[in-house]
Amino acid sequence: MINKADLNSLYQYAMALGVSQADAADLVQETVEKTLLHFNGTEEVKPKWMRKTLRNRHIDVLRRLQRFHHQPFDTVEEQDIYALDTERLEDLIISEGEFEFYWGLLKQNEKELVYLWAIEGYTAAEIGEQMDCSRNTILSRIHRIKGRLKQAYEQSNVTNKDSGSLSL
Amino acid sequence: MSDPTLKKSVEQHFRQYELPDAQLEALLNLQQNQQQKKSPVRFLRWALPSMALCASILFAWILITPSIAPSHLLESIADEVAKNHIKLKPLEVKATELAIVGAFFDRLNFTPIKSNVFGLSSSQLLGGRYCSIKGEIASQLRYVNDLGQPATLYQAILPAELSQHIPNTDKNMEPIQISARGLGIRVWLEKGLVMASVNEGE
Repeated sequence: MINKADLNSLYQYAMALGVSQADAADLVQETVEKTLLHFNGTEEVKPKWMRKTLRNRHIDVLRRLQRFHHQPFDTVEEQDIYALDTERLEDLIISEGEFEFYWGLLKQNEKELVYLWAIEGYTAAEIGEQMDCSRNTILSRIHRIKGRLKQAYEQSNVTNKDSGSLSL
Repeated sequence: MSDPTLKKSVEQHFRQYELPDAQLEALLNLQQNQQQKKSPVRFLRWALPSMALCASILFAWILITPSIAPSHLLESIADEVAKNHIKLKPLEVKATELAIVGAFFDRLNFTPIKSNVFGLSSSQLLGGRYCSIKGEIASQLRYVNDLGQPATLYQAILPAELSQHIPNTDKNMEPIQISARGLGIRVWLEKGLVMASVNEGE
């Protein structure tokens, strides 16, 4: 059974994909219709399945409009993975009122990653599964996100919770 | 009060977005309606008459039709067409006149024709490109419907052992409607050509 919270969660995820509120509402509508057809009342609807369906539909639409471009990411060496894995986005503290500025520094797929981590509580592996890439790629992206925010911090207010400065 | 973490900030940012009440209600009703359709009482009320009707139609169809179209063939054509439609690869010829677009397809052993079934007029034609259906070279004609959405019409000649299973509109048969990849596809045989169309406005 899909409830209001599920629907709003789906809507928020659509917003994290960078679409307008109207387009997000359309994506939710299409996803729910497809979900009802797919699950057909025979089993419990899986929110992850719905998010994946919504994402695929979004990419289809962008491809049709020829606005989807695969964004390559830095790769990381195997020996760096452990170090990256210990990096925590949770260490970042953002001054009140400056969220929009820092959010605007992130690329679209980075916003999606941060959304899945912050709102849905996904692990790197789960984010990779949702975004069709490997866990290592996700860790690499986290590294880049912190790097970008750190760079911005040097001119602004991002601070590290523990030391009062952003450290990576 | 201390500044929030990135996680809290993201949560605060996204919690402000909620679906309009009207759409929430509509989606919940949609779900309820589907569940009602599945309820046992309703199922029993409609299942037996429906099954009897289906059996009658199937029996009549078997009597009338010499051979039953293998559904996997039509589904396979629909899936191929849906994939082509979704990709919307660049047009190889851009013109709003079918004669000009048709002249471009010199690798085909037929000339793309105006379909009486497809429904969109030449004035809505954008152009065309080569593609293939079941391994046979085909034309893809691209249109834009009244809502500004893309629509595509595919034409090809398939071997008789395949095309004989496709509804022939010249014999007053109705095009078959199949869903593939979230799109509605129509497949039919017209003037000896196998045709398939996707019109997102339908």
